[in-house]
Amino acid sequence: MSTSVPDGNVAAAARSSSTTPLLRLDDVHAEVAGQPVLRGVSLDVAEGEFVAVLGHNGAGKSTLLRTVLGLVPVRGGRISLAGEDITRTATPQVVRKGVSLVPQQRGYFENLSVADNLTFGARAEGRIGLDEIYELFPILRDRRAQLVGTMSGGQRQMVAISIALMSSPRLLLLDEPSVGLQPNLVARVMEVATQVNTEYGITVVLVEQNIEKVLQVAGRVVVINQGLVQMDAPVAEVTADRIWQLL
Amino acid sequence: MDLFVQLLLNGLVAGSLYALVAVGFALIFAATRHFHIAHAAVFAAGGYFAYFLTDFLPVGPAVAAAVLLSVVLGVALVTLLYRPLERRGGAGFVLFLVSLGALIVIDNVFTVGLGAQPARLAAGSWFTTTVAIGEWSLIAGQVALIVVAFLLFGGLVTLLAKTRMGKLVQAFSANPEFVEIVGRKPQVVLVVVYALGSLLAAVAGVYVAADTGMQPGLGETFFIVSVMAVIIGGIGSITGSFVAAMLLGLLQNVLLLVMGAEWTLAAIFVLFLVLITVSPEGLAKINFRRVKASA
Amino acid sequence: MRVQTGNRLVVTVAAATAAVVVSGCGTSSSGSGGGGGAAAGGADGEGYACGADEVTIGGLWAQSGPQAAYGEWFAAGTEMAVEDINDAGGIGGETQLRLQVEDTRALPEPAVVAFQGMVSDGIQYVLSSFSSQTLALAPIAANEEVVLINGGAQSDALGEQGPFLFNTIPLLRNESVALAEKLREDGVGSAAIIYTSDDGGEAARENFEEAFTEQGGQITGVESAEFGGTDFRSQLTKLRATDPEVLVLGAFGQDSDNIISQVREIGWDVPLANTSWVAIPAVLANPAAEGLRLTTIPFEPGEDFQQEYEQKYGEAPESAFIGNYYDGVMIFAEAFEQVCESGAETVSGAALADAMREIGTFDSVYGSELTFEEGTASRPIELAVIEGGAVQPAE
Repeated sequence: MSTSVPDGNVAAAARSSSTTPLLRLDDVHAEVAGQPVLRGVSLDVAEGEFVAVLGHNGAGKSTLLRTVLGLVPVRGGRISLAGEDITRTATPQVVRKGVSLVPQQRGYFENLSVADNLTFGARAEGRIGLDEIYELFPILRDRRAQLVGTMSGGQRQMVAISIALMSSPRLLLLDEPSVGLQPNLVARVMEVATQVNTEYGITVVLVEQNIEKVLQVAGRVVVINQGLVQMDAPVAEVTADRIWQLL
Repeated sequence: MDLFVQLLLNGLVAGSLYALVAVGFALIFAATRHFHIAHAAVFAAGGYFAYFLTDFLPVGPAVAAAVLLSVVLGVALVTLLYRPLERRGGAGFVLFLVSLGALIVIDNVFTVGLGAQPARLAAGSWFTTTVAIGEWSLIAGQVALIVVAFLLFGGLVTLLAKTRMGKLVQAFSANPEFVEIVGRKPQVVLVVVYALGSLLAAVAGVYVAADTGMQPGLGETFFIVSVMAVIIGGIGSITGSFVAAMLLGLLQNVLLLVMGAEWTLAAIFVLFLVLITVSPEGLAKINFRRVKASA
Repeated sequence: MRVQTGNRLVVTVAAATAAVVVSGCGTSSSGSGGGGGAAAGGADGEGYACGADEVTIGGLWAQSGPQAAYGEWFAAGTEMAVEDINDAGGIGGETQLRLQVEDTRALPEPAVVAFQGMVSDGIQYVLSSFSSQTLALAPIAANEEVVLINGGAQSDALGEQGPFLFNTIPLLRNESVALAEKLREDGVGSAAIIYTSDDGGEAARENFEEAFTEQGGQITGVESAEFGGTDFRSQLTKLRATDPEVLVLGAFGQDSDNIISQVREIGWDVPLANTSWVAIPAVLANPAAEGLRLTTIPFEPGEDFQQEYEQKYGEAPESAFIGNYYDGVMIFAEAFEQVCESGAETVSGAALADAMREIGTFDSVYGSELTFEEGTASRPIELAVIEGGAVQPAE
C-alpha cells in the first residue's frame, strides 16, 4: 500500500479517508503482447470525481482503462470497484457492475443502425435512455436509422459515447475521445463529459493527450509514464508546465 | 432449349446443396474468423446420423434427431475445442489445423463405426417420385431440397436482420471485442452461429445420404466448392454466399452443354482463380451488400 | 454482415485445404493380418525363404468408400484360399500363409503408399484391384520386382504392364466387345454411353464405342461423369435427348447403382446395358436395374467350395471376383512350391513370375482351367440379364 511516487499525497489521503473509493488500483501490473506496460500502478478514484489521465503514447494509459474492464489480464496487484474485488472478473460482468468504456477506436458496430447500436448499451434500470441521449446529441435522433459505418468520424464518436452512457454507468472510462475530431467537436465532447459528471453524478476517468483541455474540465490530474504514476494531484495544484516536465 | 431448362433445374438442385453448406460456413466465418473445415464433418454427420438412426426410429424423427445431433457436434467443436484453444492464444492457421484434425478423426470414426458401404438413407418412396414441371421434371426429394434451402436462407436472413439475437451476431461479426465492452457474453454468439451453421450443413448432409448415400470424403468435396462460393460471394456476406453457391451449381450443370462433366469443375476452378486475382473481395462487394442492408 | 479483412488468409487456407484433400489425407488403413512385419524368412529384398514357417502376401483393395462392395468379395476369395492352404498344412506341407490387407478406397495414392510399405516389409506377392490403382502400382511392382495380381480390374491398359502384373480376370476389351456384338445380334441399332472418368470407365467407353460402330451400330451420344460422383442427372438428361435404343454404362460399383437409379428418376425408360462388373448386391437389389443386360463370366465352383463359402459368409459365392482372388492365392502357392523344388533357397518376386509363366495353365476354382495369355487370363464370356434381383442367363 505504500507509495513512493512523488506528489502522491492526494492519493494517499484518499486512501486513508473512511469512504471507500469507487475505483481502486493497488500495485497493478499488466502486460500487452508479452511486454510489461503497467508496472505497479496505484490509483484511487472517488465517487463523483472527474479524473484525467495524461501521458505520451505507449505510457500505458489505454492499457490502464482496458485492464480495469478486464480486457487485459492483470499480472499482479488488485483492482476493486466500490470495495468489491474485480481483478479477475470477466469484462461483461465488470460492465454490468456499472463500468462503461468508450474505446479509442471503433466503439460502435458499423454494420448496425444508430438505434440498434444504442440498444446494445441500454440497461432497463438506467436513468439514461434514448430521450436523454437525443437531448445530448440531437443529430442522432435524425440519423437513428442510419448505419453507423456510413456516418462521419465525429458522429461516430457521438454514437460511441452514447452507447457507453446508455448503460447509465457509475464509472465512465473515456479513451482519447477527441482524437481526430475537429476543434468544435472536441469542445462538444468535453462539454458532454463534464455534463454527465455534474448532472448525472457519473464518475469520469478521461485519458487524453490534450493538456490544455484537460486542465479545463478535470478535477484531478494523473500523469503516467513508463507504466508508473508520476503525478497525482488536484487540478488546482498543477500547471501545464509541470505536466510537460513529467511527460 | 428443352435441355437447357432441365440443366438449369438440375443446377438449382446442386446450387441449393452448395448454398446450404456455404451459407453455414459464411455465417460461422463472418462471426468468428474460424476456418472451420470440420464443417465438412458436420455435413457428413447429418447424413451418417440419419442413416444410423433409421434403424431405431421412423424416417421423420430420425432426420430431426440427426440434424439435432449434428448441431450438438458443431457446438461441441467450438466450445470444447476452438474456444479453449483460442484462450491459450491459438488462432488462424493453428485453429485451422486443429479443425482439419477433427475432420479426419470424425470422418474415420464414421467410416469405422458405420461400416464401409455408402450410408444410404431410406427416405421412403416419395423421395424418388417424379415431379413434372412443364415438360421438365425433378424428383420430389430435389424439390424438397430447393424449397428447404430457400426457406432456411430466408429464415436466417430474417433472423439476423430482425431479432435481437441476430443483431448480436451481426454486432459480433463487426467488432467482437466491443460486444464484451457493452456487457454481452461472446460465448452466446459462438453457440448460436455454430448451431445455425451446423443445422444448414446437416440438412444438406441428410439430403445427400437420402439421394446417393453418404461416403467418406464427400464432405470435403462439397466444402471446397462451398468455400469458393463464400469467397466469390464476398467473405462474410450471407446473401453473397447463397447467390454465389447457386450460380456455381447452375454453371456446373449448364457448362455440360459445351463440355464433358470431367471438365466442368475444372473450368469453374479456373474462372474462380481468375476472379480472385482480379477482384479479391469477391463479386458481391456492391450488389449484395445493399440487399443485405435493406433486408 | 460483411468483413473487410481476412480475405487473404481464407484464400490461402482454402488452397491449402484443397491441396490436402486432393492428396488424400483422409486415408484410413487397417491391416487385417495383425502386427509384426513378418514377410518372414528371407533377407530383405531377396524374397521368401524356402521352408519358412510363414510367409506373408499382400492385399490392396477398398475396405471403405464407394467401391467397398467389391473389396468384400476380394477379401472373401483371398481369405478362403489362404485358409484352405493353411488347413491342408501350408505350402509344401510346411509353410503357413499370412495375409496383410490395407484399405485403398480404390484410389491410387493410398494404394501406392501401402504398396511401398509392403515392399519394404519384404512382401513379394501382392493382390490388387481397380484399374486406376493397379495401373499406378504396376510400374513400381516392375521396378521392385514384386508380383502384382489383379483379379478385379479390367482396363485394357492392364494387359500391357510388363512381366510382373498378372490378371486373373479377362480384360474389359474382351467384355465390352462381347457386349457390343451381342447387343447388335439382338438387333439394337443405336446406343448412348455414360462413363465415369477413371481408367476402367474410359476403357469401357472406348472399347464399346469402337466395337459397336464396327458392327454397324450408331452411337447417339457420349457423356462423362465424375468417378465417385453423386449427381449424374444432367448428363443423363443430355443423353436422353439423343434418343438411343440402349444406354450403355461405362461405370461400376456405387456409380453404376446411382446412374441406374437416376435414369429412372428422370423418367427415362431406356433399356440399360453394362459388363459383368455391374452385378454387385446393391444393383441387384435395385428395382431400377430390372432388365439390365450384362455380360458375365460364368463362375461355377464345385460343391465343396460352394458349401464352405456359404458356411463362412452366409451367402452363395455368386461373383466371379471371388474366384479370381481365390485363384490368385492358389497360383502363388503353386509357383512358390515350384521355385523351391527347383533347388532355390529363396523365392523372389522375379522367380515367382518366371515360375508362373513356366506353369502357364493352372487349375481354377471356376471349375475350368486358367491360362495366362501374355499375363492375362482367358475365360469364356456370355450375355445375361438382371431379373427378379438376380443375374439370369439371357435367352
